[in-house]
Amino acid sequence: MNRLILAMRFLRRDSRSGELTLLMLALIIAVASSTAISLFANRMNRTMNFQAAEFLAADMVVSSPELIHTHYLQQAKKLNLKQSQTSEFSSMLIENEQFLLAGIKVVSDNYPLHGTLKVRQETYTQEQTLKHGPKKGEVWIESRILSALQLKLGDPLQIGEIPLLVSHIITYEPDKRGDLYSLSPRVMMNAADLSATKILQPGSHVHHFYQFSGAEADIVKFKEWLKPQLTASQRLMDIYDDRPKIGSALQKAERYLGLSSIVVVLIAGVAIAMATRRFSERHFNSTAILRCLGYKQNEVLQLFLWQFLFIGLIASFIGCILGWISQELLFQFLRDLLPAQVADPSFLAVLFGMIIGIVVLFGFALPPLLRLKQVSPLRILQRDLTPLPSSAWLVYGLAISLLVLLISQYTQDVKMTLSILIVGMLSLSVLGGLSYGLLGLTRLLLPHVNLTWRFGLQGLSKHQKSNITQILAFSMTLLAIILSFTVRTDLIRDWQKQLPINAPNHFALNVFAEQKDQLALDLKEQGITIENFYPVVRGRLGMSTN
Amino acid sequence: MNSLLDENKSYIITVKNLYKTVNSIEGSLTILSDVGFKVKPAESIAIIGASGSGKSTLLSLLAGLDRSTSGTIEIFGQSLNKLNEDQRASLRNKMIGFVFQSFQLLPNLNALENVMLPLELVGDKQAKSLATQLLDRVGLSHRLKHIPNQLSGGEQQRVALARAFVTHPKILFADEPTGNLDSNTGEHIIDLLFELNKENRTTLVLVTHDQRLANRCVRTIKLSGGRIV
Ligand SMILES: Nc1ncnc2c1ncn2[C@@H]1O[C@H](COP(=O)(O)OP(=O)(O)OP(=O)(O)O)[C@@H](O)[C@H]1O
Ligand SMILES: [Mg+2]
Repeated sequence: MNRLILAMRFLRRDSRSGELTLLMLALIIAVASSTAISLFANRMNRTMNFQAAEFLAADMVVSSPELIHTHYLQQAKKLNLKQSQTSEFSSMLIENEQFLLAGIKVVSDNYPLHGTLKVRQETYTQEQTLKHGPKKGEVWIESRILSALQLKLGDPLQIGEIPLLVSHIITYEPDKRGDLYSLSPRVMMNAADLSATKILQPGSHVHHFYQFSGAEADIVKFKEWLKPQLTASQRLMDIYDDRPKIGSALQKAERYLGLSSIVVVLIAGVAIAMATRRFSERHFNSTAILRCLGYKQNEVLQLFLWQFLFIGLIASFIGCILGWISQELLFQFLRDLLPAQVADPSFLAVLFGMIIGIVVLFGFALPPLLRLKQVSPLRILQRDLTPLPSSAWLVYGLAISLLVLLISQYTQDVKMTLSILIVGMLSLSVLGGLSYGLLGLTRLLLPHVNLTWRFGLQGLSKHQKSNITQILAFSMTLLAIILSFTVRTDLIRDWQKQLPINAPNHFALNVFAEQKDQLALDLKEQGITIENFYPVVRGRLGMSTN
Repeated sequence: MNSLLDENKSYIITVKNLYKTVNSIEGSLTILSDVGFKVKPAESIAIIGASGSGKSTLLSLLAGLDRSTSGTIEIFGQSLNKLNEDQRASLRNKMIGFVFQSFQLLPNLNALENVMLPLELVGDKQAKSLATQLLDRVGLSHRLKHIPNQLSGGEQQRVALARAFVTHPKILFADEPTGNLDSNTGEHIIDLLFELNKENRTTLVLVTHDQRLANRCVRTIKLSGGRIV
């Protein structure tokens, strides 16, 4: 407690010194940029997951042409998974002497587990959003069934053996499948009415769907348990493996932003390392006095670590807020490209910024801070007694492991991480060798130049080691900036190459031959050109064995 | 045998055959050779000698800031050579006070905070009141919140004295405590030093060029070329 107060007292007096301001600024920028990127990525991922969950109306779905074993469902219950079931089949409807082939969907009471249904009570009223399907005794139908069978809302509709009340027009169901089979107009009914209809006979062509939702770990556990037991005709889908992949363009953009933020972190890191070095050197005398007064090595070190921890927390907090704001702006900016509903970031993604801040700060500040531990109390009498510089292994080791961590975090790709690192190290050693050679050359030149030049060059070769370090730091920073520009140009070119100019982006299905010309004409009036019409035919593929 | 032990106990500092050699560019350099002496509690000793004779080096060894090349230094019967870095730090905190010629206050902290430092290290709850008392004793009660930059040289030296005495050390080491002060201010600091020495029965070991200061000590040790003469 005492140490903490003392640390804060030191910090208060030091807060106006240039190096701490620089250090905080660098850290804030590093944290803000990496938080913005990680929040963005996190929200995109969650959005994709939510969309996938909505698409399945669950976290995981098992489809099967026959009913599945009840002990599967019991196992799901044991794992605290929520469940619902749907069955889909085709049936011919006959009303008012009109025939219509409809896609019947029988839903259990807790359907849908994710997403919502949309219905209308009258033909032209406002859509209503509901989290459940039809009640017992009711059916919801698509509006085209009303006209085809000359029905109106409130009429009974005969399904197999029993009449059900047409209560709502259904306009949207989350897990509507896109296959031709499910293109026939929808009739949705409650599972409780199914047996009374007597439609389903042994041998009827039915698809059964079993939906499950719950914590990711439980879903995964259930999936691993269930998968080996499924028959060839049963299929399993879940939002983690089978979700629509985040667009490759977005993924590339995410990576590019991630790598750019590493560049920012690297530049900030160099600034932090240099500022801390100045800070340490300025505190050699104070440290010697404290050691004289009886402070042990670790006690002195703690005093400074507390200060840096405090600075780190404040700067990271500010950085997180700025990162949050920029990420919000980014979403605003990209609004037209993204789903209307974007998920909130997870708590962990916010925490990530704080962690990055502390890790970056200590990754770059620790080596120069550790020198303070080595300050001898004897310095009080011998002022030129300075501690040894921190070992290069420690300095570069820490910085490089930090970069490896960040790069692999952003790229999620071992090969890419390794190649970036190897290229980086190679350029570092080439640059180091070059600087070393140049400095050696200046020493050879010394006797042949005039006094002013001699002073300058002598200064250069005198502090050879720290000069090379500084040259390397600046070159790396420049290199990183150039790299990031190159990648950006490549990225944009890639995007533009992905699709030919004027590639079609809307499609119309189920256009009958006699409607074709009229449709083309109608669209032309709206200024829309049709690329081409393709015939679609259902067919069965067989394989001959001889 | 017993009397020998008692004899050693009656000395607070015992130095025997002390050597200090350093390696410099011109080869190994002997700064102190065969130095030995004893100091009784509450005694005051002046170490004098020409510049470069090894006074500061001797002081740094006595205070455990540096290690000797050979020979022994015992403080309260404890051999400094046998203590590690941290143990010596802890000894300094509990038993030893320091006053130097210059650069000894923390520029970041005000007078009061500077004096509180050694007490805060051991978590003394009364750090603030004790420090205030001592600053009052050296006549600086009106300068508590001033940082070193805002104090004159003499005032800074008085803050340093207050900080040295605030832990009631058994020994006070001082290296040219009046070196940077004009003679009037120097006189005042010397008076204070000896008053505090009397009040606290603190052993004084002073390195000085100042004859007035040396004269007020009970004993004088003169160094020349690293040897006692
Ligand atoms: N680490 C070292 N390396 C080389 N020489 C040293 C070292 N420490 C001290 N010396 C030399 O040892 C001699 C004694 O130094 P010391 O500081 O003890 O002298 P001093 O008596 O205190 O002098 P002054 O009165 O000028 O303060 C000097 O010549 C000094 O240059
Ligand atoms: Mg000296």
